[in-house]
Amino acid sequence: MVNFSKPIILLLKLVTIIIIAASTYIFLLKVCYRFDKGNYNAAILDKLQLLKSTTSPKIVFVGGSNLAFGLDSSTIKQAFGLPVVNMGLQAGLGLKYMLDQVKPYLKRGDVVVVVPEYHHFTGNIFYGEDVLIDIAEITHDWSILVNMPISSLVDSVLVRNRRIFNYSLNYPSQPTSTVYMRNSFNSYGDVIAHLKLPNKKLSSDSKPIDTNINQAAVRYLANFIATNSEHGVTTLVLYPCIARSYYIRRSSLIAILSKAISNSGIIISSSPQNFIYDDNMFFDTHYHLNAHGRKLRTEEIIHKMSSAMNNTAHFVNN
Amino acid sequence: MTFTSFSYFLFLPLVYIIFYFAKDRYRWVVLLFASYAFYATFKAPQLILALMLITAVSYACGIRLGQAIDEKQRKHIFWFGTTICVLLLIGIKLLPKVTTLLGSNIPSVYTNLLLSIGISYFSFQAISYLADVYLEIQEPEPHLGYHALALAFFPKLLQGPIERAGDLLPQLKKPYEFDYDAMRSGMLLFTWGLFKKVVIADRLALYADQVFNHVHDYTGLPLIIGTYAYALQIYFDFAGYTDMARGTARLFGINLTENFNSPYLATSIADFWRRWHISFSRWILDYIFKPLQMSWRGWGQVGTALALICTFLISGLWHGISLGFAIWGLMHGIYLATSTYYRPYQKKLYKWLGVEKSNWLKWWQVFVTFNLVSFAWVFFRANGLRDAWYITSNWFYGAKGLKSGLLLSQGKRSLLLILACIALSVLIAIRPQLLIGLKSIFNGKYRWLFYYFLVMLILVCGIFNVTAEFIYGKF
Repeated sequence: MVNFSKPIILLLKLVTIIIIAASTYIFLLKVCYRFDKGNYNAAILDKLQLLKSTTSPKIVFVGGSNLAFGLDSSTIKQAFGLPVVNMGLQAGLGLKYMLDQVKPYLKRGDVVVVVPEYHHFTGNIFYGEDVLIDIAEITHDWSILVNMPISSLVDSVLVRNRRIFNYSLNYPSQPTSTVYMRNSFNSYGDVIAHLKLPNKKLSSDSKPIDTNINQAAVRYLANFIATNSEHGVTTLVLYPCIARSYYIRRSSLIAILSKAISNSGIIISSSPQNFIYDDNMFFDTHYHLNAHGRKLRTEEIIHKMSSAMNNTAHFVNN
Repeated sequence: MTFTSFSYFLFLPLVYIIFYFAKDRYRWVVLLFASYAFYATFKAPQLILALMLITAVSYACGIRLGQAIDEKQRKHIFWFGTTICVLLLIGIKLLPKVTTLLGSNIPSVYTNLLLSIGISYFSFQAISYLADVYLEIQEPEPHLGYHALALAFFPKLLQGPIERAGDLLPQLKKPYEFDYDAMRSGMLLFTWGLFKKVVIADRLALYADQVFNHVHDYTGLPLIIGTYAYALQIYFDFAGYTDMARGTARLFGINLTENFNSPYLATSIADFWRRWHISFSRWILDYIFKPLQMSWRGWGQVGTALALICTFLISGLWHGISLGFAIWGLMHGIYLATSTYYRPYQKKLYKWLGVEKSNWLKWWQVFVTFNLVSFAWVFFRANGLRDAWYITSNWFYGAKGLKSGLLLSQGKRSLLLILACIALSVLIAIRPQLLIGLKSIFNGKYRWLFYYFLVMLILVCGIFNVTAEFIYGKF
């Protein structure tokens, strides 16, 4: 006869310790959180407001920080004669959140340009990373975390221990950056604070690429395009801008990804090579263009949009 | 799946529950299935195949060795089995090099096929099994399931310890009985290992990686700090892993070999190898050094010195086929080989100076040994020989990068935490009674309160970065 009492007592003690420790940890995270209105991620509030208040027909750009840093929305506006909303903020928000947040505000006649990052189609980044918890705290919309895989959510919560470890009573201290701030954006949602600054050493991308293609991400994007089409919203998909050195290192993965996306029936209005620029056109990372790179990329986007729409005159005349 | 991943924290209790409720005669099935499932999470089918092949070959050769009477035939069987294991090990280790040399640009989605995690450990264990059976130290294992489990047992599959069949098989066959104290101590050991990994090793990695990945941004003191940071990082990383492996195994009633014994308090390189990666050093001593020394015994001291150099060169290459690992192994071989010559004179000198029993001498020896070991680590860690040469040739020139804040790059608290942990480790190492005191806290009346604080310390001070893999998982 197996005696269950001892294992059960041990299990109960263990579960109790884990629950108490996890609760204390969550409590400390909450206590140590102070909303900083000037925070880069707080720009999501302005972007959402802009999205809601901009009347249709409009052009909406959806993507990560490559869009925030590397798009001149006023030039796009001039080219097509339509108001532009640049929703680009951070790749870590995940493609799912990016698409979900714009979906309710798209109306007939709108054009949405989706610029997913390559990482969005591998592993679980499609569902978002720890920065999504930031956004949930800023927007008070915790429902956005529901679809995050439990392992990603736990990892994201654990990574936030920096908040407790580095907690200081003298908060806010001096801002650590003049670029990664809420007021670095213009009225379209483009970051402009970096445009006159000299380039920095490009930070090395140490993050290993998860080599498993996330088919759910590809399907989700395909469904997004199909639903938009049914509602009279035109969707274009473009590849993100990346530095040449980065592309050389990841070219084989990028080729496989683009093939997987094409196989799913998604029509992409560019090739990955269209948005590869020399390293000296990037400001601080392999995705963030400087002023010169931004200008070239915007011109290329206009060209690709015009060709894809095959109706440039319509936009210009409007 | 690694020991620090969230999925492992679901996997382990699940395996334990099934194991606990299974009948004794099926428990090996549970553990074997769990071990293969654990290994399968790396999505590298070539490794599973290699494990199965090595298991089958070592099992069959073991049985045949037990049956064969003719010495020549026994020798052939032993060498056949060993050659298969070595060829598989080398083949899988060389695969990335071969693809690079052939110029084929393997798509990243297939890079899992280049993984070699775990193979160094189970292939060495299979060779040691064959050698022990051949030398009639060990009876051949008649049960394929237990033999397969001894090679694949998941707590030690990825990074060891490299267990001898004679130590592990009887434990695997023993009927399991729930032992409250063993469970508690196993969990505590696992948690302590987790602390070493995520709080100390991964935090040290922030400094070591900063230096080793940008060597030309530094000269002088920052390079020395980076070197020491890596020396400590690799110790805490590997020792942390071993504690987690031993803690996990203890839950299933298995005691794995202790792999470390305060290696940085060693007073000589020979002493270091008695304290560092103990299961591996015993393996290379028994199965490489001793046979070589025996073969070259006619050459006297030169034969011993050469055997040491060859043994450690092989041990370096065991980590991977690269010049850096070869130099690291060669350096240790040379350290040990030269010591066979100077040691008698050194003893005489200490006696003449009257310092042979002095504590100061002991600490001086610890200091010298630690620095020799750290010097060799540079070649082990650096991204190429050029970087290693740059680091070692610029240790004593300037202090570029110090003012720009290497030490404070992660904040004052990070630095203080690291210093506190190192100070505590040193104190425990030099005053073992402190460890007894610490253990009594964790076994005393308020132990659950201390467990809670330990968990909180890990949660608040740990580095939870998905890129932070175990260093020895790569070898």
